[in-house]
Amino acid sequence: MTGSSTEVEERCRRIRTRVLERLHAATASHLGTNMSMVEILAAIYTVTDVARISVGASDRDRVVISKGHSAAATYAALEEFGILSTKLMDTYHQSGSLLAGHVSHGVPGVEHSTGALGHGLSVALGMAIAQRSLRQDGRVFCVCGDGEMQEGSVWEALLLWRHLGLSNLVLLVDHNRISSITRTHDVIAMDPPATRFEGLGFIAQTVDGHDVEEIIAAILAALVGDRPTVIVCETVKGKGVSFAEHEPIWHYRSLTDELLVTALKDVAGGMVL
Amino acid sequence: MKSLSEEMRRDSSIFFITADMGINLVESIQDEFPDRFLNVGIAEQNAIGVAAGLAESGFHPWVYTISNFLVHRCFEQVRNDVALHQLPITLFGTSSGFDNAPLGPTHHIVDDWGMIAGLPNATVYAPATVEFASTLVHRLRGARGLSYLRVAKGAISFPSSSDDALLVGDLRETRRPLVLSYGGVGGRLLEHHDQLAGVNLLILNRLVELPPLAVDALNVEPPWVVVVEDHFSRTGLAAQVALFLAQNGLRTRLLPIAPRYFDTVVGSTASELDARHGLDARTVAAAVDSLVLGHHGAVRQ
Repeated sequence: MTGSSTEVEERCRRIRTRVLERLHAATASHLGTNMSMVEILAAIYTVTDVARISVGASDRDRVVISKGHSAAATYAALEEFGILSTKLMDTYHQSGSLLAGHVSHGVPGVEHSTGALGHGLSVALGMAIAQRSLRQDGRVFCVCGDGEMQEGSVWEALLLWRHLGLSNLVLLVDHNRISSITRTHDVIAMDPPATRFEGLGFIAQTVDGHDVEEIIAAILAALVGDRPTVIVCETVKGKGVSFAEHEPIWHYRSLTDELLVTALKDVAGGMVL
Repeated sequence: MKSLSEEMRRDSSIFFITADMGINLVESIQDEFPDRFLNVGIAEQNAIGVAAGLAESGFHPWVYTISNFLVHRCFEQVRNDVALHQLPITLFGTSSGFDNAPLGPTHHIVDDWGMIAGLPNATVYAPATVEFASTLVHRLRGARGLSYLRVAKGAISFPSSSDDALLVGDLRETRRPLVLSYGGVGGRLLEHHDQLAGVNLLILNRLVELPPLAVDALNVEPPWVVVVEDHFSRTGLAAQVALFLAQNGLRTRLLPIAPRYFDTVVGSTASELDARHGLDARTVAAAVDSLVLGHHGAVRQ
């Protein structure tokens, strides 16, 4: 389904490269969180019916990026899978562009604008309920950050989702262990997160969040499961960029010319991929 | 609820969501439309988010609970997930003003619709009479954006009151003070309109946008407009009227009569707390008398 592992790695390298280029061009931030979810996005869009998403079919698969500050990676993935044009992607974060620093429903392929955290899972759940009511075959995928799990509204959605037992919805949590200014463990410890979801009655799978094949296998298992599934993706914030990995400051800092050269070399050289 | 059920039979896009409210009211909808009914539990933020997802999938959700929970608890969801996305969602808020008087200030709904009115393209209804309330479902047919229904308990019946606004008086009598109100308080003023002799009494059922009759009544430039509302005036109808008067260069003076603080004193009924805050017909009549006598400042000649 995904092509050879080399092709998958190349795909993720292209997405990372585009993120770095656009973040640098716009002196934009959020490098760390964009880098941590590249493989998650690659896995989701490999599984979904991209052609139906592109034409906006009413019974399409739906992808809700609840951690909206990962806009650059989301847009780069949409570009990689042919949903978003390169011309539009080149305008990221530029004055007059539709491509803001948080995902926006004005952009092709984006189902819902997010940015304030804790909104996406409820909306995704509404979409999954609609698919059930309308007897549609589509699936809904939602990506939350691990820091985002501190928002109470996420747990409202989880409780109802578990109660309804819908398995046409899959939640992937980007567990990069850093929230806004520090490590999640030092703010509200939830390790290991899978136990929290299991406690509510979910199936919780923990996977290597930088292994596309492993994420895809977890998604496919979730879609045929008899209980709702949360996939905890163990990731590294700033993944692939030597000076940014595990560093909270790269939620905020933007790339200088010199650091861009280093970052592109890291990604091209497959530093830790 | 009966008219909503009728509309759900006609329109398969309506999806009813309750945040665990409406005992002996919502069950018939659940029974008849199990695929279009959902009790999300006591989780209002989730109620709005789920409604947004449903709306983005083609439904017109109605979200039902007590007005204060519906607006205040989940305002970010209403702003971001509904208004920003221009989704057709109806917020069906039960209770307004001091309807829940003895329950205390967390249940006093005196600062709700002003928040919704601050969002672009929102429509706000506050029915004063049962005749108007019964038309709401049909008015919302094909609604394309956010609508907020601020439905008071115990609305009164008043003949020929199914329009957006109801006038007791005569706008040709331009020297009369104009008394403007809405919703439950408006209904009670309407009931006791005989105590308000010498004024033009205009009761609104719709607050955003201002009904044409309200525009007409302000454009005749009455000497005073007295806005009586169970909502803080800073974000309420008084603020809307002040903006209208200023934008149109009208020299009408404005007297807001409204609660000014959260009231922690128990009142047994809405009427009792209305009276404490000067919203009852007798106190309004006295305020109008003061205007005529010049006690609130010289009436413009």
